[in-house]
Amino acid sequence: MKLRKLNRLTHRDVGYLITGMTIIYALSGITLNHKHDWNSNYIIDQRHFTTDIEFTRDSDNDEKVQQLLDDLGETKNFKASYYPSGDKLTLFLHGGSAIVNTETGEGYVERISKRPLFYQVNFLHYNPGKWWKWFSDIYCVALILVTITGLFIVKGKHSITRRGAVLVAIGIILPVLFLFLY
Amino acid sequence: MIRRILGISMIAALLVSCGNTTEDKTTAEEPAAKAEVTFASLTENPDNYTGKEITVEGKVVHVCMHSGKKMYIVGEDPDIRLFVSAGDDVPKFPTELLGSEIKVTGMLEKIQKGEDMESEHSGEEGEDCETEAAMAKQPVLADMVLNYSAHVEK
Repeated sequence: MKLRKLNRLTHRDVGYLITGMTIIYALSGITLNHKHDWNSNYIIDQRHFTTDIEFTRDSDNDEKVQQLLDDLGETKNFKASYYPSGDKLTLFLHGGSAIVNTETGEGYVERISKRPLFYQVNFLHYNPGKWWKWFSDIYCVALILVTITGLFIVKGKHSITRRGAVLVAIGIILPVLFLFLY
Repeated sequence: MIRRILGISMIAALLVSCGNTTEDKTTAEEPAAKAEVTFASLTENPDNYTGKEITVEGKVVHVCMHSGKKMYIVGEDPDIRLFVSAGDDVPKFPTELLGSEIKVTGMLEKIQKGEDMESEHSGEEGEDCETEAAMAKQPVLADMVLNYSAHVEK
């Protein structure tokens, strides 16, 4: 088999194989770039409230917590409370939490649910286990292979020695420019 | 044939992504019979357990919402938190653990001052994590990490 044909077949078949992984990493890569702007893992719904109940750290708050849970309609969801130093009381609920500022009485109930698709791709992106680590290493090597074989697919004026060379150079210069910018 | 394979692949991907959103894949193996330590004794003498695999019981008060690789547990004193790190070989901690009493097993280690502390504690959640800021001020366990190996919910 001619080298060029082998190159083309390798590019094609390995490219097909890594389509799923490329989409996983690309999608999660975008969401992780914007992790401070948008929580891609969870959908968080907040319901704000104000309470007159006075909580203090030095007294038994169980009854007051119960009263607040009743007011919020969250009694059956209650798991535990957490009140460290400061003015923030957290009531852990099944599927979320209620957070109260004990100074102002203002608070919110937060419901958390996993964001379909994004939660799963981020889960994989964050390297969930050693088998995935090796699997994704193989993917990365395959991606390099597809990139390099891709350089030698076409001949003529669009080949790597002419138009291709310019475009590849631009693709390398741009990230290098960012290195200088930062 | 190819259409069938593609169709089945897409259906499988959809089922996985839109499937059960409450269950997680975090390992919850029964902790091995390692040194079981109360949170109080860990707080009193953390150095006694440094470098050892221990099992400690506590309430989960924070789980990292981004990486899911970090969580914090407390004992009787809500102001003394223990940082539990999932490490590279363990799936993320599910947020369903929040508020749960768990027994967690792992290797207790001291975080070296300087870059190690920074990387372990700032991580993916960034500098706006209240729990990390609060933990940095606590008198004990602020420089300790429990490298997770297993947990059970009580």
